[in-house]
Amino acid sequence: MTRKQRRSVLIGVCLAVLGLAVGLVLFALEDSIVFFYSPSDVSQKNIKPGQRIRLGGLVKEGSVKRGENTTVQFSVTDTAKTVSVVYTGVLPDLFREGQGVVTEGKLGSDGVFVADNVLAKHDENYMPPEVAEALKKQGVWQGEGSKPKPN
Amino acid sequence: MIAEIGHFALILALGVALAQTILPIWGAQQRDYTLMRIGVPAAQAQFCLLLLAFFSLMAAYVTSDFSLLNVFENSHSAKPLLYKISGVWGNHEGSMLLWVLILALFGCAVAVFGRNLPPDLKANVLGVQGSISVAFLIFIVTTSNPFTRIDPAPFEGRGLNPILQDPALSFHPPFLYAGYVGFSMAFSFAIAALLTGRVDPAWARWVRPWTLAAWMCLTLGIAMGSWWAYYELGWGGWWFWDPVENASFMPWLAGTALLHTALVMEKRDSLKVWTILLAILTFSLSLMGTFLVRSGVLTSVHAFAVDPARGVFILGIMVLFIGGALALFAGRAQMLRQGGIFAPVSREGALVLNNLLISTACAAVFIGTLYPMALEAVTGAKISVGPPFFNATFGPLMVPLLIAMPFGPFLAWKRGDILGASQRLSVAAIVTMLVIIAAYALTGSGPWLAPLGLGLGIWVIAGALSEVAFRAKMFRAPWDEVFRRLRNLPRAAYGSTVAHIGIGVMVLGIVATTAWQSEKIISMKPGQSTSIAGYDLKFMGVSPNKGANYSEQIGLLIVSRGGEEVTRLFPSKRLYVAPKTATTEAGIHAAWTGDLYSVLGDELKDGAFAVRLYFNPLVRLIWIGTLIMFFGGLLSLTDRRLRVGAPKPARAGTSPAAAE
Amino acid sequence: MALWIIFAGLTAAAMIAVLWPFLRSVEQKMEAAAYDAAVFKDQLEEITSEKERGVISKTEAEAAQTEVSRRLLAAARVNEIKAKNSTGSQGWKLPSLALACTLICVPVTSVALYLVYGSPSLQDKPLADRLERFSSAKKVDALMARVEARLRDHPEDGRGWEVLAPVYLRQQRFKEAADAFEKSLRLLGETPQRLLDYGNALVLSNDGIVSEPARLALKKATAGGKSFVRAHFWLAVAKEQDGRYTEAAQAWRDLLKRGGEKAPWREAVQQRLAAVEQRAGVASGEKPAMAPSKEPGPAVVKGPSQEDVAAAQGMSSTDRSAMIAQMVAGLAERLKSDGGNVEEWKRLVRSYTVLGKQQDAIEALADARGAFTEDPKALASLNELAISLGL
Repeated sequence: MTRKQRRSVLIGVCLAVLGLAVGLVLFALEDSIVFFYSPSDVSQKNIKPGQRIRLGGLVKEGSVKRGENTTVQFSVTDTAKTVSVVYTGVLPDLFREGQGVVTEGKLGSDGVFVADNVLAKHDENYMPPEVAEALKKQGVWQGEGSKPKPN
Repeated sequence: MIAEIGHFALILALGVALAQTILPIWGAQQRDYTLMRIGVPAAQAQFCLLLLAFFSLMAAYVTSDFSLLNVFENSHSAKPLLYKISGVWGNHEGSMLLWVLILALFGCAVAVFGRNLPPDLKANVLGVQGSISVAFLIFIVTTSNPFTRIDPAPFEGRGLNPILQDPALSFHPPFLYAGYVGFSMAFSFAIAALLTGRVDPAWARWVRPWTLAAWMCLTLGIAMGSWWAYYELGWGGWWFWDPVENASFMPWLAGTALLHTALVMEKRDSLKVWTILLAILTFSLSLMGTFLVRSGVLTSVHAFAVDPARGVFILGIMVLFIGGALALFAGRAQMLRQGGIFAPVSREGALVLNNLLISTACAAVFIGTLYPMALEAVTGAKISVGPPFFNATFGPLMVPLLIAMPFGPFLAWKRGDILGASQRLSVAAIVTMLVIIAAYALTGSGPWLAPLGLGLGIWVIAGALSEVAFRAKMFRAPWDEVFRRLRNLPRAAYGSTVAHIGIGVMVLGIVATTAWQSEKIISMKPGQSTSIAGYDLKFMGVSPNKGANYSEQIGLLIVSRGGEEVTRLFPSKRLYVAPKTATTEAGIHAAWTGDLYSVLGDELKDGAFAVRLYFNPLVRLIWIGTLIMFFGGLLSLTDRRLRVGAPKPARAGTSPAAAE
Repeated sequence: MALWIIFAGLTAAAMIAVLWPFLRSVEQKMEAAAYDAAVFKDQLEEITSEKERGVISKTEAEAAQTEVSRRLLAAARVNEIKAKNSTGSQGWKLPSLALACTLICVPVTSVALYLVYGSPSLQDKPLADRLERFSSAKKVDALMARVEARLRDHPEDGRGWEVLAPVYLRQQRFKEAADAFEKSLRLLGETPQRLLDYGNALVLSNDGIVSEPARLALKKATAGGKSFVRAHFWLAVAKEQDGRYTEAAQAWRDLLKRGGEKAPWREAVQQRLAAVEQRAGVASGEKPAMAPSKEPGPAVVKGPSQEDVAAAQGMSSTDRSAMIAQMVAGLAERLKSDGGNVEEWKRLVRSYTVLGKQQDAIEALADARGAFTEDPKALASLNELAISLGL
């Protein structure tokens, strides 16, 4: 092989790997990105049932109902709109009524959100930033970002 | 007074770092040996001063001196001593102090152990290292000062996030930082080489031990972080592709690539441009990791410091150093003449493939980590890129890397013989095939890819072992000669073999856990039983308990197998007092076949509790593998060759070639 | 101050460390290329040993050796050129300039930054120390609370009152102290000590005015022949306050005799005596030995004017105490604004003690010391006074 050929082989391999990588990235991005919505977004933006999304807001006071086994039903609200959520599994440590929560799952055709993952905040003052933002839009929460409130 | 001495020492260190930056580099430009030599004592003095500052802060923590704002906000008198100490770096200010302390430690190490470095290179390295110190010390003193006082002092602190009260987490930041910051050495060496104008194989050999040391620390730091996430977060997983994890993983990937490409540069004087660029990029990724974690642009369990002013400052530091380095690189790139040429199939070619795959994988992680932020900044849409993305991109890139891995060491430099290498790997290939077939026969269930994954791990291990066997002429020469050869193999060769075996072991653990993990979420009343992965578990109920600074509910699960009691698990839910926080403590039973992992959930109707059970087969191999990798690095580091390079002073002035 | 000395030490140590190369020069100046050559030589040896062990083939080894040798030669060439060029003719200018700059800039920047961000005046406050201090005060409080609670249930427990009373006295809660002493006196019976304590507390609770019950109690305390200085002191004060200056002077003289030469309060009483004698003279219409002039000499103590005293005599006890307090306040104001001599300051301090205003006395003493910082004699007498009054 001449020097030129060697170089072209190397460059070819590089391009092949990079092409593969770009393909993988695009494919994966297409497939596995999850958008975040507040309950108001869900009603306004006409989310299709079956699309995987994250839904965040406050757990509505008095809405948590224990079902069979570990199934739990509760409502997520941003005070303007409310979406009911069904979840089967162990709730995170700081899941409380009236506190912020982010759930991940799919909207059912009956409008009930079927969550397969509930993300908790990790201490009393912490608010998931997406939730904080969404609530700020509704004028509910006055804190700054996810900064803990000074006590 | 101790606190104020610490504060002054911190500021004085800034002054010394300033001298360390300016004088040696200036001296190297002017070829003034006295000025060049200032770098050494300055680096040592800077380290001592920062050590003094660090211990002053630690003293304040240990004695609960709440007149320091930092202690007040992050400590509590009821905390156990261990966590008072780890509280020093369990917060933004303290961890930044630790960051510069480690930075200074590496500078000091070069000053002490770098006797084999040419004076101008050493002066420039220490100067660049000093300049990083200056930037971060200004950052600390002006925006994140741990010695800020409050008067009058409160009588009780606000505590440490209890989720962070854990031995593994207490000592994981120091190692993580040692890795992160250690790559500053690679950066400083790269800049110094560009400044002195000599980028040659000797440089590659000098930079390797420092990169290796940083890589080892980072390996251990990441492993400890993952271990912590595994048993503290109670999610049963060991890696979450959390942005903070990615922030430490990206420099690790780049550093791994750098270790391999530096080898090519050392042996063949090739790939100079790429090596220098990689050295700069590795530290840039470290800086970016620091920025991501410290600025609070991310949200995850780790991001406990949130302050935009700080973020902007670190961003400034990042832009300055990365931009400056790349500008210098662009200016001097034409001076990096290409050295030895090589065929595509050769040791060099294999290492190029390694670099290509690793850096592409690193780029994929980079995109997955930063894309959500970029998208939000541009369009305002909020998305999350979770594990599916990383599994879909990172995984496929790793498969060819692992397949190709055993071939590399068998290929000769310059031009390799792929057929010969394949022949030498035939035993490894046969072993691998046997394992795959056995795995299919034994498991029957689970994803069809899993046995192939196991085979991949075995392939890497067997390949690494066959290299040693081949080098020692095992089975081809009398045993005494084999032993003699085994003894004579350089430690660096053993080091790379051991590290590659570690990768294989880790792959085994990852594949087994991912493919055959069993999970069960059920509600259990006291007295009820369930079974998972051949274990029978009887739930005995929950009892309250009080710890030093928390109260908890402890569940009791009696685990038996075939009617015989194996162990008792005590998963618990804790409620900490300061600050009020609930945490989950998993009850874990470790066995060779895998971990039985139990988490206590909420109380349900009629006295039942939600209980989450996992069986994670072979999960410990993941951390055992990383430990093996660490020891492989250690073995390489003790190799004689990484230390030589200092000319004998007697030969000064005479031409070494003439003396031959 | 110690802090700044430590800072200076730290700075000096750092400066010496950094500038060490200036202090100790090393002759050996190795060219960079020599270091490169050492590495290449090592690589050559490595290849040889690998060839011997059969790790690499002969042709491979030879190719590699040629390559490394070429590098070695190049390094040697660079070395020679550099060695010729670098004659070390930089002179002394550059290093000395750097030396001067470093010596000035580093300490100045450090101290300036520290002054901006540091808090040199703040002490360390380890929690354990603070708690100790805090808890010893706390302990007394807790103990008292317990005793008080007990006494609420058993008000007839004389012992309890006797324990509690001195604590009240020390805390300057004179009214409660007097009350407690009174109860212990009633419940446990009269002893000279109890009478004295009661009388003393009563006087103090009354802003230094010796009321009739106090006087009776004190009188009784001394009746048994016990020589309580404090009792005699208050009795003398009582006579003074009643305007019976001659008797008061006699009482002071008796007290002096009783205390002997070495009594710590001797000087204080003597001054009191002198003042009383002066007033006694005024009251009895005699000319004082040294008439108070418009501008009193330094040794003369200005007492209340004749009118003042006369007015005081015709007053009820409350009015009188108010007048005394007013006089003291006037003195304090005058001394503060115009200054005064040592004797006047001492009188102010004494008046405050007599009135039971311990805190004010201490402050006045501090002010006095401030006014006479350059007069050792005055300071000495102030100190003596402080000791005698137990301040």
